[in-house]
Amino acid sequence: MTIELKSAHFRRDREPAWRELDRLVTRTEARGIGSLSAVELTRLPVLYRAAVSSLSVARAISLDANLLEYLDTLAARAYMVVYGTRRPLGEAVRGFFREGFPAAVRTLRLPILFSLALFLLGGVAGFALVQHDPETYYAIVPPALADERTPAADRETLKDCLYNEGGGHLQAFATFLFVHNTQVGLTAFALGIVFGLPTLLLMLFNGLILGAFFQIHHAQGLSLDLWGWLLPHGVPELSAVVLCGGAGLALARAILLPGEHTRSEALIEAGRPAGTVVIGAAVLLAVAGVIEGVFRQTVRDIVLRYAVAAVGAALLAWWILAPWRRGRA
Amino acid sequence: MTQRPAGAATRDPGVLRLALTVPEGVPIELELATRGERLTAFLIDLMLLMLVGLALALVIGAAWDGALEYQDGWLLAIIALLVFFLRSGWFLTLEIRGRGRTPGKRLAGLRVVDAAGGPLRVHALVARNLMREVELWLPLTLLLAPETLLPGASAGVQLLSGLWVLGLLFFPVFHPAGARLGDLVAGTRVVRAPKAVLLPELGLRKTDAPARVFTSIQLSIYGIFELQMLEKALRIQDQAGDRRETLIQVSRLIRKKLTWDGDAHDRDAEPFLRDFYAALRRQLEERLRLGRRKKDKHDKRG
Repeated sequence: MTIELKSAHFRRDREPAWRELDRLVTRTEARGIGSLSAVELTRLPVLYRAAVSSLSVARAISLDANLLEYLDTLAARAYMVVYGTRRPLGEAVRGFFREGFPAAVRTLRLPILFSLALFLLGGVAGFALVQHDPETYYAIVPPALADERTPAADRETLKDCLYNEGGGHLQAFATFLFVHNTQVGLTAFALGIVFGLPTLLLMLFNGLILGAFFQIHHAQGLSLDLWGWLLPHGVPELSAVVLCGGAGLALARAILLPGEHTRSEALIEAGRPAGTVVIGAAVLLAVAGVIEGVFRQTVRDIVLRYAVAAVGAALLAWWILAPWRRGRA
Repeated sequence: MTQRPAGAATRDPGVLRLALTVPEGVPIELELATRGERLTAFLIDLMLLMLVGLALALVIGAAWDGALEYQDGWLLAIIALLVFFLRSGWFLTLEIRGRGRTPGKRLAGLRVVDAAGGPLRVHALVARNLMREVELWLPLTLLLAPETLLPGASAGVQLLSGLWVLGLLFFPVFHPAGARLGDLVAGTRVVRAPKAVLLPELGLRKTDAPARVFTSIQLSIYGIFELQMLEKALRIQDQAGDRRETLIQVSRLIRKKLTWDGDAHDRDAEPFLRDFYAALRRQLEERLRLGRRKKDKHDKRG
């Protein structure tokens, strides 16, 4: 019995390639993909595929437990290196703006539209409630947010708030607002996992506040001025709130109504785009913060305010819809 | 259908395994990280977070006393931004930078993988880390400072939110594979970074002495399980000096079972076992190529 085992022969032929892959993977694990030379970088996927094919052959012909475990492990390690996130940060950011975010929003369009509907419903309800009984305003709008702007305020006070806001504190205030809003957005998204009820309430309540706020200005004939004040930063800010709510509701839908998928599949399918949508919302909130902190107090011309709001809305719509058109053409 | 790799018998049976199919279509198995290992990794990252937070606080404090004046709330705004980053961006940044390995995971020997075997993409990392908002920060806030979230709440509401919080915080304890909510939402799992050493081939003969010849009846007694137990015995690293003793025991057992009438000296235990291993492996591997997998000695198919 001097003839070599077939599986031993197989091993002798392939072992140098496994050892080479092992060395590359070990180095990458310790010092990152950047430690590989250009040649090694091109060798890596070739060696990985060879190792995977070795593994599958070995399972069919070899009973050497150590060899099988080694190849299983080597293939797994190489898989994680080859298929780990490897895109440089800059490219990942570009990809997010060009495709990631718009695609994610379109994937979740139904829950996002539902979130928008809830928000609008809240708005109408808030408007109606305060019109019916101005006292409800105090129950709806938190005093810190309302400040001087109450149903009892006269037209001049309200108008003053819209056009002559306090000087230097505004930028810092805008930063706080950004942090606060983003935190609320994150929470609205993440709370979707507990069946979406908190997210639902959060959307309704945000709408209520806006509706109530609108009503007191409307009652004094300041509708146009209010929207001119609100929309430049409101376009990105309110969109972000609605997007985060939609992301949360997408998670809730996956859990409650998974459809033909299993719950965990549905959750993953909703969860990944939802996370991307939330990051986009954070970007929108940052933009809103800049507009709020810089633009709102320097520009008092109502036409210009509307123009900025319109441009903002157009840019946002283009961002979300343009790649879609390209994809369809 | 995931075929269980033949080497599985020799592995740690106490650890849960994640079976995934790599894009090349071959199934592989990874060891899932235990809850303890993940907690360790998390605590290391949390400690780093607190250290960075403390360092920033000291720097800002020094700057405040010195050159910077409290102007227009700018300093407070910067602090708010930093706190926000540490709270919502810290783990995410570490995980993206480390390609699925935060410093804590690296030290604990763990990493994040796609549960289905696909590439690990950034948006999966984003989703799993954004969930920390309800898994960690919200429960912490509710536990440590409930009045900031639920001002003037009744005892009933506080009890309910307390239960809810415990449910979220301890979710991984109840999940069969120890996954946290973020893993479920993102379709990821945390596994042990695998490590295995390729040991020398046992099927090769080192001596020129003629190999022992076994009859086909003798070779049809055992199956794959016994072959791999024999391999395990032959691969024992001789540290405590009990390798020789084990091999003698095993060789006596096998000789008896085979009714071996050749050499029977304990001195030859290892050469005998090596020859038998090579012959048995040849026999079983040839059967394997014909599609007959004799699992163990009770398996009648071989």
